[in-house]
Amino acid sequence: MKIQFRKFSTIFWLATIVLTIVLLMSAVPGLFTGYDPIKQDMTALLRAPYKEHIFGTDNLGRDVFSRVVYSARLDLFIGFFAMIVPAVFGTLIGTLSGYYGGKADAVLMRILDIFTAFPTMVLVIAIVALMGSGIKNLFWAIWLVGWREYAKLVRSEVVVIKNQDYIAAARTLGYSDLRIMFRHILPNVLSTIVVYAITDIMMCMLMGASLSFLGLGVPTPTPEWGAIIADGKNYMMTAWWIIAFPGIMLAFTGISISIVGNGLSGALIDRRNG
Amino acid sequence: MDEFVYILKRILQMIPVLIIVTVLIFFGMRMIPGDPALLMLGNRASDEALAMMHAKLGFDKPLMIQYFLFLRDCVLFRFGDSITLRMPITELFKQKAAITISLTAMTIIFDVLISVPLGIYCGMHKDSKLDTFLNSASLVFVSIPEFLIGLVLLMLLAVRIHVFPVGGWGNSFGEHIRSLILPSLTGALMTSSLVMRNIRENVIKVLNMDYVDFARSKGLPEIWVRMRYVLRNVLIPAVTLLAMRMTAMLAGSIVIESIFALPGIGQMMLNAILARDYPLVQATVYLFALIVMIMNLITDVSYSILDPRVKL
Repeated sequence: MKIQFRKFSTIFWLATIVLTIVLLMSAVPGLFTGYDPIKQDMTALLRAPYKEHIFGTDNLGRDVFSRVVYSARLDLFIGFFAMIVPAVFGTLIGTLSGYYGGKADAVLMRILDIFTAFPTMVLVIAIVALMGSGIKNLFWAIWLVGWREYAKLVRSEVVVIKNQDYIAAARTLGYSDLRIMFRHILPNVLSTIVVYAITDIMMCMLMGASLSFLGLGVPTPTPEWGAIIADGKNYMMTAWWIIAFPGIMLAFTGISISIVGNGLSGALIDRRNG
Repeated sequence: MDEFVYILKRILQMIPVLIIVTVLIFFGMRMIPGDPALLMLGNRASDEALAMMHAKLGFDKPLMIQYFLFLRDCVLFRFGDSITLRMPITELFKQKAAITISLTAMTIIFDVLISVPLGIYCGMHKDSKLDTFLNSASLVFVSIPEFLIGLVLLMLLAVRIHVFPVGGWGNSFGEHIRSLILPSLTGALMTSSLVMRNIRENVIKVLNMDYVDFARSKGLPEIWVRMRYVLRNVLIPAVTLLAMRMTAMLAGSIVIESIFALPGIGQMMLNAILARDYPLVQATVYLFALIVMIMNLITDVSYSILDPRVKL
């Protein structure tokens, strides 16, 4: 995928810088802070930001800055890992269903229609409600729900592409179905999937943070932006810094992913339209 | 007549889906490792207490019988008692529904008040300063989780300057309204960004339509053209989008009610999940499924009423 980078706006590059910093935080958190994110210090409880603790400390004396930095890894991991599994699975299902058609395809689409009628967050919360909270079930819930969109998206494109002349040509050459699907059809669907997947990373990250905020996702004391905010909520009146900094990080990361996603999808669509 | 047949057909189609939903709820909860009764009572529960809880939950009967009893209860809306709140679940729903419904209604009112005028203005004045600004603002609100928006509003308008109550439901009608403003604004900001963008795109599209040019060339006053020809065609997709967001509000209500301490269905469900109050969780999930399906039906029907070109 060749993209002309000169066309992007300043905002796009700012967002890229923010994301690079967040990625760096998740890769080498030790570079940013020397404090342990879960070590409690009973001599420094609920301290406002000062020289030693630049983001202050929380109700257990933990350094808020190091908690925010160490959260980056888990939050990005949730966003990416919760996206990639249903993306691959949904793409496979959508490709097979669209390529072969027939009864299996009709049944699958009927089932998808029923379940896309339920909003994603409602389904995710329902699954977590039934299976119990925790990070493992959080992934299962998003995985079970997330593949619907990919399957629908991919299928709708495959149905169009499979009737194109070059697919007929590939068939005349005697290529196998697998080769046609993976070498000739999928590469043409890829840009659509990538565009959706980038936004999906953000959605999954926000969903993970929301569930953790409700106490249904990442358990304490693991550092995660949503969970830190949930902890700090009770001290909101006196210690604003506990929720303000993870909130700013979460917002900046979400907005940056959106901006980068918008920029890339614009570039990909431009490229496809010549 | 056609519409009646269509609605009847849709209601009949809901039955197999609801049965699938009950199967998923029932067996989903039984697939969890561990004994729900033990989880509810704690590890040190005596054998007698455990046996009593098993009998209460119906675990002493064969699995299939248990499922059919559950299905019967779902059909009759007879959900038994909540374990933590020690009250009939149907009664709980009746008490809490008013709060969640008022929250949803007020959110929709805010949605419309924000998105319709701004969306139309931005569509008519494409690339103006306000349009560019609102476009970026809507991107921001879509990329931030609802709980963060709620907390920011809470910090600014309730904690710093005491314009609104920090939480709770209040005792009088006036207090109810006052305590609903921030929660519904929280829910509305994200939805109205989506709806505003949708309206904006459609205004731009419709303004370029031939029938708008034709209406203008007939010499109709501009205001008439906009009201009669543009607005109507723009609002139809917006209504559908809004209705879709209303079902998503079910999940939103869990987040929003927990931030603002509104004792509605969402908060009750969250507490039920955290306390592993399984009968209450099952009943709420079932109820959510039912509401989503009914809402979708209403959306489809209202779509055909608003737009005569759409056949049911």
